[in-house]
Amino acid sequence: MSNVNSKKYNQPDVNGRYGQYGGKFVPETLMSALSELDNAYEEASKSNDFWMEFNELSSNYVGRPTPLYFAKNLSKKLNGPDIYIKREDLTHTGAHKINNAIGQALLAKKLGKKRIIAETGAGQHGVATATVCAQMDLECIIYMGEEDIQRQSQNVYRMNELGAKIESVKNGSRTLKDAINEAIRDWVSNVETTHYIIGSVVGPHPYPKIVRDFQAIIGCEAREQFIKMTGSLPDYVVACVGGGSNAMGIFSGFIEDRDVGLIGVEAAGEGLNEKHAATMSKGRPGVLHGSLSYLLQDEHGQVTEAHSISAGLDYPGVGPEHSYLKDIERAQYVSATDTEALEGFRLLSRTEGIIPALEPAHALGYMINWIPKVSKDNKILFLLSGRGDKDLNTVAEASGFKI
Amino acid sequence: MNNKRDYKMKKNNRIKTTFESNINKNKITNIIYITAGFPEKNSTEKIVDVAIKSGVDIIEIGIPFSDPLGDGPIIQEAGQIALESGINTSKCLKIAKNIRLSHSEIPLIFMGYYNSLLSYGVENFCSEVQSIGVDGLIIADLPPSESEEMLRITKKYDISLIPLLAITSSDESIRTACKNADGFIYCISSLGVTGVRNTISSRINTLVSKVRKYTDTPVAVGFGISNNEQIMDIAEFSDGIIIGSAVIKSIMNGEKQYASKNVGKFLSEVIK
Repeated sequence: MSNVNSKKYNQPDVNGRYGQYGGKFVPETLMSALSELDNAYEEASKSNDFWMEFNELSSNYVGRPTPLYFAKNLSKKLNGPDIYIKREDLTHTGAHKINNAIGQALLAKKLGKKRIIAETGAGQHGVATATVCAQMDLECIIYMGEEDIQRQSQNVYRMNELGAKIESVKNGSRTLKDAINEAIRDWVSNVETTHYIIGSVVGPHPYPKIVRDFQAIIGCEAREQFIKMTGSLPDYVVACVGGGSNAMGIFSGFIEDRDVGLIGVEAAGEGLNEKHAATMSKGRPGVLHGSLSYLLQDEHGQVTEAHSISAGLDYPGVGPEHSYLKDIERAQYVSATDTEALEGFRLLSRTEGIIPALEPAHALGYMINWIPKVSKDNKILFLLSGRGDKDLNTVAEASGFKI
Repeated sequence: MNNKRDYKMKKNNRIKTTFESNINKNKITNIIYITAGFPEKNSTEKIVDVAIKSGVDIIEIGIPFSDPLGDGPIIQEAGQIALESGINTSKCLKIAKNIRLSHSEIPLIFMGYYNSLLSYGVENFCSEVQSIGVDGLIIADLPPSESEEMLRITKKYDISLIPLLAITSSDESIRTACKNADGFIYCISSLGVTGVRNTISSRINTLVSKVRKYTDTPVAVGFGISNNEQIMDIAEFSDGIIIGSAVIKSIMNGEKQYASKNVGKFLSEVIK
């Protein structure tokens, strides 16, 4: 608990632990690759040249800094405090995933690895990885669950056009969790030639840290922009959490500002007592994909299937740092159902003319019920992690339309 | 000596005695892996009976897990089938208990994933493992560098925690694993997950020589082994071999009710 009381937040420790969470629970074959990656990242993160290259691509290729937008109509409609939106939907490829993909592809080049593998759920991380691989001339293989391939067909086609090879994963729930299993199996087999660009703050150390650090650009910009625009810090920062990379990216900018409330919104699917993906509300600590964190599992420790209308939140685990922030009560984790997410989706589209991805639509869905309880003199910072074009089929289907 | 001490000594000796006796006879130690409760809930005990008759020296009983990321398609499928039939950690313990009742000397090892143990309670699990008389544990996703806490508990309950080493292992990992080694050291033959392979990497030889520098604990090589020719090659430098996927495959290729018979037939071709 000492980290809460002292001003400086410095996680993880040298063993990749966030309190009890995190670690490296993987087959021994991968251990040397993880140390190699850890060393390469340590070196890169101290090198000005590395960050210059990252920043140059972030500005001129991704379009950073992304704007901070005062959502006047949304604020008025909800009749609560002012809501400001950090617009990651305006990045190249349309979601925050590109930040991490660029950082890790640069690391892969430093490691001399020319073959890239990645998993994807909603397809946004797959598209981002395929994009940077095209730009940096790297071979790209994307693992994607068969069910996700069906519900995100547009993104599958985008990845194809970008020159990536899609591997359809037919085991288990045929979603994100199983795509990660297959990507890890590929990595175990090709570890000496291949870099695995994991898409969220999950997996064995050093991944949760590396992904957070590349996404930290969101929080860093947002804090500066928020102070510049409003003259103060926000009272709350709200973001959706699947694995939790967008949330970790923005939270990391405010973690030492003790008065700023951090709220992560998970997917409650059909409801918390039905099928859902609310790992931190309903799970208990366990090991999946190389780290110890909250996990949806049955009484025997078998991982249970998650459910969410949004493919990007359809994951039974969560990044270990979120588990730590929950336990030390630095962040609060809540949830929104499929139906609430759809309401959030429509609300932002109609009030601000911004069509959100279904993942951040969960945070909007939560805010619809929560905002009226918040004092009007508060200020809210909401992270719009991606745009909703990819979800139009799903939303149309849920509304009884066929497009 | 009181009974408890006597019993513990006996247990501790099963893996060691087996290797020592085979090494003295200049024989390789044959280890097989079978998924608990596969192909049917009550198959495992019968398969073990046949395996022992066929010359198997040590049995690894796999605890099925929903997300076995170190396993290839064959063992994944076996685990899935076992889970669907209702196998869980308690039932795996029950199966091991039955086997121990009819075979007092055969070394038994559980192989599984860390979350199954965490969920059961590591301390509870180890205490039951000791009382049943299972001799060792192999945890596929607990590499030597994360094993400190586990080692404390397995030592307390006098169970061998068998480390896995890979051809990519750093010298530091090899040293750590050898320092704590108990039972034997499991050397993974090639890059990749479990599964049947035609060729075994020549780098396994280098790994085994490195291990020998740090410890006298016996070494067994596994992953990809499916025929007698491979076993003969590996016997040149290793004390033991482990066959997993190929055993499971021999079951999958036939009818469920002939599972043990098919394992016997397969083993008679492989173990000579």
